Amino acid sequence: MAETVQASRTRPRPPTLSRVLAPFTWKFAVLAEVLALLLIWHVIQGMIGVWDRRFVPAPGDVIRALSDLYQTGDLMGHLTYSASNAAVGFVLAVVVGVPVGLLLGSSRWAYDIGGPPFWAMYSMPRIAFQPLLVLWMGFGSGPKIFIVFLMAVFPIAINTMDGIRGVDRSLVKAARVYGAGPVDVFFKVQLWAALPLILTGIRMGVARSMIGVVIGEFIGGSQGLGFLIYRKSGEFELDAAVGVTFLLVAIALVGMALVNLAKRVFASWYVEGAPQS
Amino acid sequence: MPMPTDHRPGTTPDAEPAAPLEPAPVVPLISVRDLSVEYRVSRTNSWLMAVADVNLDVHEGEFLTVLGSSGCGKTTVMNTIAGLVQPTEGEVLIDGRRVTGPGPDRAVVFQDYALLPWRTVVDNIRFGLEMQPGRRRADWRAQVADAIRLVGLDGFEDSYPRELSGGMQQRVGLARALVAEPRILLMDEPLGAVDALTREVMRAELERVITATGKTVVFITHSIDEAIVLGDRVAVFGAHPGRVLEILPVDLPRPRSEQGVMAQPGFVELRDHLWGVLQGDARSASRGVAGS
Repeated sequence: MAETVQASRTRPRPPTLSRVLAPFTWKFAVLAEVLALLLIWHVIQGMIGVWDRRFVPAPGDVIRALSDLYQTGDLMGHLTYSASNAAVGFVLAVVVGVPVGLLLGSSRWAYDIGGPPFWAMYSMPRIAFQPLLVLWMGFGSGPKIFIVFLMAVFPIAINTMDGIRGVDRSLVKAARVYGAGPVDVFFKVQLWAALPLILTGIRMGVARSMIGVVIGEFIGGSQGLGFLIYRKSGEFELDAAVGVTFLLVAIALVGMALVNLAKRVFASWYVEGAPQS
Repeated sequence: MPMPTDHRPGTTPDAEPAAPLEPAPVVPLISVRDLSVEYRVSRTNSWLMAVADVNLDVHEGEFLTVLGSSGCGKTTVMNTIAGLVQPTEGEVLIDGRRVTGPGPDRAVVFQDYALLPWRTVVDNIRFGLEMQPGRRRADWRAQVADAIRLVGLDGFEDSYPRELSGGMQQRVGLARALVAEPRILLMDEPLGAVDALTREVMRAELERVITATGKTVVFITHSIDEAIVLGDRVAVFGAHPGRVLEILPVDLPRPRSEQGVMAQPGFVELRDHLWGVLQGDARSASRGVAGS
């Protein structure tokens, strides 16, 4: 007679401390990594003194310079100027980039006609364009917003295009079987399936926007965080220049985190192909 | 003078009154006539003949299994019946009307499930109803709930497809098809991607569920056992190009997916025969390749 074996437990173990903390371990590790990097920087610079302090400021100098800028009231004005230009250019890039990507990705005709100029514009060095933009649009916000738009629109459009093209054809087939016409296939299948990649493009667009802001304010600028980096570098206040650069990075990180949040809300079903821990 | 076309009893005195009525010539529900399908292979810019001169009739309420090796064109035939592929030659008739595209009278269960990953089980099943005009929205919830109970998905209503095993995903695919209330159920190797154990269980459930609904089924498989267990008739397909080699009835009592049935002499005999037909085709195909 064969033995029958029964499970002795049918429920998972009660939560232990290590199980409760498990989701946060990785975040602790990242925090520790950042602090360790700052510490190494501080030790090499401050105690061993490898580099000349005028050329490579210590972490303490950078923080002090930033707080000085904040206290003189300079910082917030520049920050709002840059942030608002970046935001306007970025929103324009989303509003234009997503439909352009959808069109190029879903229509053979549109791609045959619109593809060549699109890729030509993409491969154009957009930094070289900035002096021309200043000549055409003046020293105001116009050329700054436009260069942000130019920087951000391409990753958004290209990812949207690839997203639409990569839609699983068997999903489209299934939808057609159950009576979906071209419009339903687009709105109920293709757009949803492309959403994760569209949001990836938008996240890349956020980072590109910050680059665009700096380019725009480097050339023909008199305000903003990019201009501040340019001026402080010229005045040999490298601690302030490095600090403002980090500030731009922080703004980009917050923006990308917001897009990730949107991804988690609107595409919670999507599991990225990243290795599982 | 034209002959009267009156068939009222008693008008022809020489007819034998006690004779059993001859069954009227039944129009098959699905009729595939001289079907050929060719595909363009864009890489080599040549045309490939996927299916050649297929003739196939399926009657109302019949369970037809289509047996053949992978890539023999049986899926192409099914896609043509579904209206997803247009015939190069010949035609497919449903109830005597020519198929030009998908329609609410047909539903498909796919080998790769083809579930929308952003929809929960309930919403995926609902898709079978959403696109059909003339369905009352108020009835959707109850209809979906019925389908969930029928295929045994209770408790998984709010799960996403990726959270389910292959077997459970295919239950969703089946429920989505059943809720649309088609006359014809087209199943393209629905158990091809699930593990062997689940396959046995699902096969038994399919026999139970589908024979209970009385639907007309075209079921594609490359498993000889599956073809015999499920089919009222088995159509054996040959490859290159896809064509019907033989159609034979399965006269075994149902339910067949019980223990011991596969060991019965009738079953073994059929399996041997089908195996022989498939092997013969494979051998002549390889000889054809070697000779050319």
